[in-house]
Amino acid sequence: MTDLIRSAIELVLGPFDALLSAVPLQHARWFALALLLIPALATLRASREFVFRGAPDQKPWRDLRIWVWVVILPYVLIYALAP
Amino acid sequence: MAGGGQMGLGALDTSIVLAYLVGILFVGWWTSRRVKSSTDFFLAGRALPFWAIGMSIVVSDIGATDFIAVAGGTYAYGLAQANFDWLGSMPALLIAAFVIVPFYWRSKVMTVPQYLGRRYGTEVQTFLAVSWGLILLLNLGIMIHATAVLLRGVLGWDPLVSIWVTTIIVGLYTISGGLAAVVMTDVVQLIIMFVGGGILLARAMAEVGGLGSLREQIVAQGPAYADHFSLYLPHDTTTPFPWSGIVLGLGIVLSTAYYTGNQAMVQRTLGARSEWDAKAGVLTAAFLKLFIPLLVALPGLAAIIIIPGLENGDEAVPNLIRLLLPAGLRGIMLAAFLAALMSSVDSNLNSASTLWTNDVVGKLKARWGTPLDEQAGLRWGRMISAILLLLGALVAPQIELRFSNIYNAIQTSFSLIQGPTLAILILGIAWKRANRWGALAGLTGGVLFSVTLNSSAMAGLFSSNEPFLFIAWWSFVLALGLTVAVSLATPKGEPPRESIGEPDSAEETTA
Repeated sequence: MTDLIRSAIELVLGPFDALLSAVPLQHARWFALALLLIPALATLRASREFVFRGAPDQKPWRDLRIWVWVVILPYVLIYALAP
Repeated sequence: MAGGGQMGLGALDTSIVLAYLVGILFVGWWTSRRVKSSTDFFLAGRALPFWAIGMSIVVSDIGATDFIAVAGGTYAYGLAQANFDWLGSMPALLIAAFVIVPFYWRSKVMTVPQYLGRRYGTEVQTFLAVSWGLILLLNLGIMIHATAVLLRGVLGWDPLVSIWVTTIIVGLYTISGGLAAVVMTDVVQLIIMFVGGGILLARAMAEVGGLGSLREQIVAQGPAYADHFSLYLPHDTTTPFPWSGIVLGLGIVLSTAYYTGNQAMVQRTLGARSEWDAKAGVLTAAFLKLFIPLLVALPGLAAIIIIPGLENGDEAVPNLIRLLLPAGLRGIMLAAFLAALMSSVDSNLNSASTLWTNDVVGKLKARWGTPLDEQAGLRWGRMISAILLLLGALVAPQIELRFSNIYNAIQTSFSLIQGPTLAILILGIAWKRANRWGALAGLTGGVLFSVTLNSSAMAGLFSSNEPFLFIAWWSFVLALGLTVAVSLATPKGEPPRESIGEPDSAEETTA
């Protein structure tokens, strides 16, 4: 029974594992950068009302879309330049 | 008691540590004067500012064991360890700030299981509350035990003395002041942690001649150190950190589950004074997390040059302190360790107490016709906090005897439950068709699949020696699929919109 379960799991996970093994290591950088940039780009679609909701005023420094880019920039540089 | 010991503390060091402990108790006492109800106790009266939330999230996440273990991991495996604080934080915290936290905050819940209970029903709430309540309780015992081990190592204290000193100090301010005291002491503790960690980093970098020189010296150590400055390791590496596992298991599943589904992380945002403060607090945490690998991982790399040939990388930081820091600075470093320890213990205690009071006792009392009001909730919260802390202190010496088994059980429990929880949380927010039957199937199926993949019969299925990142990824994928399939195959069931914090219009959220 255990062998059967293991074979079934290997049947499903195997092709995915082979796919990941075929990805050159230097391409890992692009996956990491995508993981950082996709959610950051999505925040640009947030409305002004959503971003400032609950804030005492609407001064530019309270715009959380700006915060996102200030915060993420060092991370992007690290993952773009790291060996 | 702290006057001598293995770390060679002088009178100045002892004074610094005592001043820290008195200061923390004062901050805790000052904050506790305002606690009059259960909302004050569990959610700090919903009055927390963003900067305190951000600092508290970071310091609750980083314990003294991280100071030692992350540096130890970096000593052994290299900079890939830093992914846990960088790629394993930033995307997840963005998703938390812009997608999940607004839902929590608007629904005015006290716990994550309460939110999922409103969305999916009592069964899901009870399962998650009991699971997380037990995990946080055992984690509490482990953290108290870690305190005892650390104080025995650096000061030569008897472990039982350390356990009860920690229990009494943390208990005094956490039981009286609740979340507000926890967060405000966390703020002080983060500053001390950064100062202490910064001093050690500066001394270590000076010793090795700077970052460039450190890199050259490590690469010159031979082929075994060729990848020590790389963030990306091959998919088929035998270390726990292949790039594929880091991106899929850590970046997408474990970190997102940790920052959006772990009560100890989420509770601060629920106590925010406004939705803006909740979101800004999470982004503040994302900014501060940038510095954690610099403070805890780089000293581990420097130790390869300063103290080569250590059998156990976890000995790197204690040895660096002993070798590099003069009297006075050792006291600050010990205060930083204590800050890291106490901030994690108090956060776990407060969150475990919130779960047991709100999702277990509160539900039972409501069923018996005597629901908890604000005053009764406060009394129960304090009583349960005291009981949990006492249990944690009693469990801690047992961990000394069976440490590896219990520690592994906790880590396994975390990896078993986080993927499936994230799957039903995301579908609960993003897909109205998801229902309680789908969630129950996804949760139980996902956990069972994790258990199966963790079993010895599946050894060798993944190339990594510790494949918890891939297990988390696949249990998440399976839970997602099961929840969708069973929800579509069973009748639709929708909770009232206002109870789950949905925005007024779809335009308000990100796509």
